Amino acid sequence: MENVLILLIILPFVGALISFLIGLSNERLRDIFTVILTACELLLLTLIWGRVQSGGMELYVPDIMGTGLYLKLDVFRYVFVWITSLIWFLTTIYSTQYILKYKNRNRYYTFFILTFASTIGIFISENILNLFTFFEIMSITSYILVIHDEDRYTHEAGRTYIGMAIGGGLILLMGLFLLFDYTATLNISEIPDAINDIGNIKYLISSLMIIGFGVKASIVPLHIWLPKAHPAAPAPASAVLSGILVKTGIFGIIITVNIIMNGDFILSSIIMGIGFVNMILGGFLALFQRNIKRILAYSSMSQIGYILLGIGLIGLLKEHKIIAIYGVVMHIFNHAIFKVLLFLVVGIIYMIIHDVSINVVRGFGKHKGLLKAVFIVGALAIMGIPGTNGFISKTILHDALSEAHHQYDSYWFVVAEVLFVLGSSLTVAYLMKIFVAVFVDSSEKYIGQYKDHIRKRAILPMVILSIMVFYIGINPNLVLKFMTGIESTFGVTSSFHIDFYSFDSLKSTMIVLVIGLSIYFGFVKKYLLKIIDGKKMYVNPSLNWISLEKDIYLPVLKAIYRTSSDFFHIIDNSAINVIKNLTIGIKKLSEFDFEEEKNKKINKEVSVGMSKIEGIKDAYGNIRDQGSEKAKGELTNFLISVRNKMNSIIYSIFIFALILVIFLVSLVLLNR
Amino acid sequence: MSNTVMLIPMFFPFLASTLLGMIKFATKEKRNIFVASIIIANFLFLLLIIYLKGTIDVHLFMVNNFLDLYFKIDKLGILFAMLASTLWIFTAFYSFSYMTHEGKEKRFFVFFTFTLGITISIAFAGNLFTFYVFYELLTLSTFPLVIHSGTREALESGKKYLIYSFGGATLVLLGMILLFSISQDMTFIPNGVFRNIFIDNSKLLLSIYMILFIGFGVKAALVPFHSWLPSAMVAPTPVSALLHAVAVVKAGVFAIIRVSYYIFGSKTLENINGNLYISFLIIFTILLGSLLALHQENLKKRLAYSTVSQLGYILLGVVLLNENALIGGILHLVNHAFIKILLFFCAGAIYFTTGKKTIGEIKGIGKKMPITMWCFAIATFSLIGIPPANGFVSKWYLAAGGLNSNNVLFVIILLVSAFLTAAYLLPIVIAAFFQGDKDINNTENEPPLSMLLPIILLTAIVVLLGLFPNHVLNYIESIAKTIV
Repeated sequence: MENVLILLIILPFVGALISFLIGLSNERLRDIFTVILTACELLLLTLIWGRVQSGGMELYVPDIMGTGLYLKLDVFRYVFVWITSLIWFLTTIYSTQYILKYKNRNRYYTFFILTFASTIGIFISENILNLFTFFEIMSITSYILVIHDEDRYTHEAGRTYIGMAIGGGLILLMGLFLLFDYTATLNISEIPDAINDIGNIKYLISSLMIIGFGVKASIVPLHIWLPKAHPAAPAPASAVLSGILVKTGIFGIIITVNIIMNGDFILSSIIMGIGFVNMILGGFLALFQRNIKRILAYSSMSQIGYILLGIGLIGLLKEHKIIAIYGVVMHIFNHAIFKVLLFLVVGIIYMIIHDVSINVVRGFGKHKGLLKAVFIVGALAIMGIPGTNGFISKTILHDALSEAHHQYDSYWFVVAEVLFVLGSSLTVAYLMKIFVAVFVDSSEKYIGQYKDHIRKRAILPMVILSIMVFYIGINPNLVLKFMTGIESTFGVTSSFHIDFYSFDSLKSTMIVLVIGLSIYFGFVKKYLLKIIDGKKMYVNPSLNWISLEKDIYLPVLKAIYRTSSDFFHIIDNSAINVIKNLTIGIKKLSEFDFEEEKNKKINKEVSVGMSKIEGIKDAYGNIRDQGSEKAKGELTNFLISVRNKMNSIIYSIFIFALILVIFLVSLVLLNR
Repeated sequence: MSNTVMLIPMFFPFLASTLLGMIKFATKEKRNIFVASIIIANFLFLLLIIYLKGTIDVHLFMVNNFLDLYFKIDKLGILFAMLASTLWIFTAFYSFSYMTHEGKEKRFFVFFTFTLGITISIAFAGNLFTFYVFYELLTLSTFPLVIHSGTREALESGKKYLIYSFGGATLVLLGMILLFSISQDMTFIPNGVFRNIFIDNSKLLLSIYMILFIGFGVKAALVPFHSWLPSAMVAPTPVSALLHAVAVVKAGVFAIIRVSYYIFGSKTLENINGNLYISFLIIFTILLGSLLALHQENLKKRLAYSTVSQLGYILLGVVLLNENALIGGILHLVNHAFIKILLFFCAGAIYFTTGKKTIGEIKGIGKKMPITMWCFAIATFSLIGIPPANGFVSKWYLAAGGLNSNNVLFVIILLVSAFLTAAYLLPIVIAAFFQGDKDINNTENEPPLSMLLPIILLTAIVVLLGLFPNHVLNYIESIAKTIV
């Protein structure tokens, strides 16, 4: 039975290769195969739910990569794996329609499934080195999805994506090196005990790990790849990028902060602070964007802020942390559902007009009932309107925040509550921006229904997701039951109870809506909607603001690169340059005094040249023996011959080596 | 059984290459079969003597304690000899096709086989003097390979190669004489020849170590004595591949391992702080190699600078003087050999089929040569150190070794260099697969099978060594345990 774990990874890995081979000859069969493959994975997972609930599974395969492959599936991991499989199943169905008009379809499917396989691997690894391995594979395979269009913009976005992914991976690796050096274990469940004894170095280790995972989770200020990569990728790829891949980073942060560091107070507070920055900055920048996909990308950043807040709260709440645990996992689960739904809606627009700029697609959706309906569902969910799943998880998170307020009674939590409301209001405002522009404004350009462009199989995933949004919203206890047991991973066993539809939570929703709408009408409509050439156009003043990437990261990197390159170029040629200068010096010396006294005999000797160092010594001897008058000529001769020899690099290198040896030896002597 | 049996794998190639030079072959195929059978037979001889084991050492020619040609088989030697013979087989098959367009194939194969004998002799040399003799011979026998094309540029580079190598060898000779004056013994013994000798003059000892290190470091492309290596890239690709992977640069590294652990011994080195001063040069080597690789447009030159930095890793592992670091160093010696030879084979395959040498020219080549470029991509990931390819395993041990000796700086440099490795190799892969004109007729144009097959097999080895490193790892561990 335990072998099912390895099957969970092997099935998609092998499936990806098979789908590639099938795709070489029959594309239709390949499409069907990939859908069945992801369906099988989902089915397999669903079947083992009972087993996981009753205690989880572990599997150890020795000898792989030196440390062995150690997999584990408990309820906490199961939730991640299950939502991943579900989302992949739905986006694969969607892809079969979306990718039809693209090139390189076979490559797309292969890497789409490979990314799936490695993501599953990340979530079920118990050995943190295995986790890192899958994490790196996932970074690379998803890169190929990001640059699928192969045009200039996607390549630039891809460069940022892969550069940050590899850089982040190396920082994470640094953390793992230190972790292993100090604790001598790589198994996640054994680390918490070991790390308590190593002193303050654990903060360095965990910070490195958080930075490494944080790049993927797009925490500020490591988020810059996110708004570039999302618009570049094909819609189903951006959907999984936002819905699932970002969560792998979050998963890593949870492992680091809440499991390895056991919810350390300092670290939790910092994560909570970052969470608020993410929430507000993401929401704020989303207001300005004109590319719908980029709005959604910033929106993901903002939602990640909520999750980070929850992660911080798990640490701060200590024995009452169960509520925050459920809040975090629930929000991860729900965000995957509604964000993927929104990306798929945008994908439909892109399929028809090949553009997602809000100024171009204005009024597109005014008469498209079904599309409008599913968008509204997604939007309501992300705003956290009662009746949707977003409301459920936000309410739990908000309850956790109030709980922490009670527990600590610090005025910082008043600020936190205000920011929480502000973040939600910004969400309302930027979604209103999309909704009004695309689905309310009218346009003469887009009157037709374009029904022949879209087949049912593209609509089906969105309908399923919409149903889930409401189903979870209305029956939250069902999902809570599904998740029962996640708290055991964090070492707590208590239980909690929340009245979701209480007066308080409804009231705060109303407040959020009112503030959000006033931001929309008071700011977005007033300041961002300008009339240019007689048309109403959205402008994006944030383009002129200081950009982290263009104004800070790149110039600093370039400066370091240039100076170090110059420095090493000097060293690169040092052996040769030293000698060149030496020979030039000797040449000048020889021309300086004794130029006139050359005679034929000497010239002849020079042309013959002396090939051994002994020859030089002989020349010295001659100089001493003969009278001073003659010595002048001999000296010139000697210098010229030395110079000639210098020109052949034989002696140059030799002399340089000698100089270096002398230098090193004197260094040694000085030290004693 | 006579001990002289062990000499077969060393001297059989000499004999065979002389024969190869004398026989006139009717067709190329016959010659190729002859060469292939020599190399494979030699591999089998090697397996045989390893299998027979016993106390195998031979004093071939002994005048006094100094002038003593002495061979001995030990685990480290076996590792190096096996590595060389394995890669020689791959290179031989690769060369059969590749060398057809370079010409003068017979001369090439004569020296090619000859060099194999020398490399194996280096592996089994039992004392420093024997080592030195074959080390010099290695320079001479590879020289004709480097200047193979006979162009002005090739001759210039060949000259540079000779000058640097002999310059280094001169230092080695100096160091050897000084060393012998103190120890009266230059046999390679685990933990060094200084065990029973009390040395009060540690400065002299340190100086000798420096001289030997720098002398051998020239072949190991230690900065600032590395510039022969990028210049030697004018050689035909199989030659560059071998030069980089095992034959020459690794002989330098191997020499440094021998000197550090079998002449001086880690205890002595720790006492005289021998590793301290050298490590500055090594840090420069790592950073310079990977940074300057970014500036190279020529694919082979970029790989050459990359070798410079990777050799720095290995040397780092050697001088840190702890077990993990040494395991990492030796493992990286093996892994880098496979990765780098693979990268060169791919670069050569591109040149062979399309005549393209620079990175700007190879945009979109992944669509024409998908298999070759896939192998190149896998080798790239491995060299960066992305798991589960083999480069990661050695980096893991190197970093562990760096931390064991409380040197966080080394680990940071390793990672910075890994990032730079990504920066100079990934754009090649990206350009090959995802850039370039999309309208070009994408007919597949893979190199001939005798080139493609070595590439594929090497890729398989790279991945398998990463996934299941334990056999090699345990073997290297058993070496490291006896000498640290």
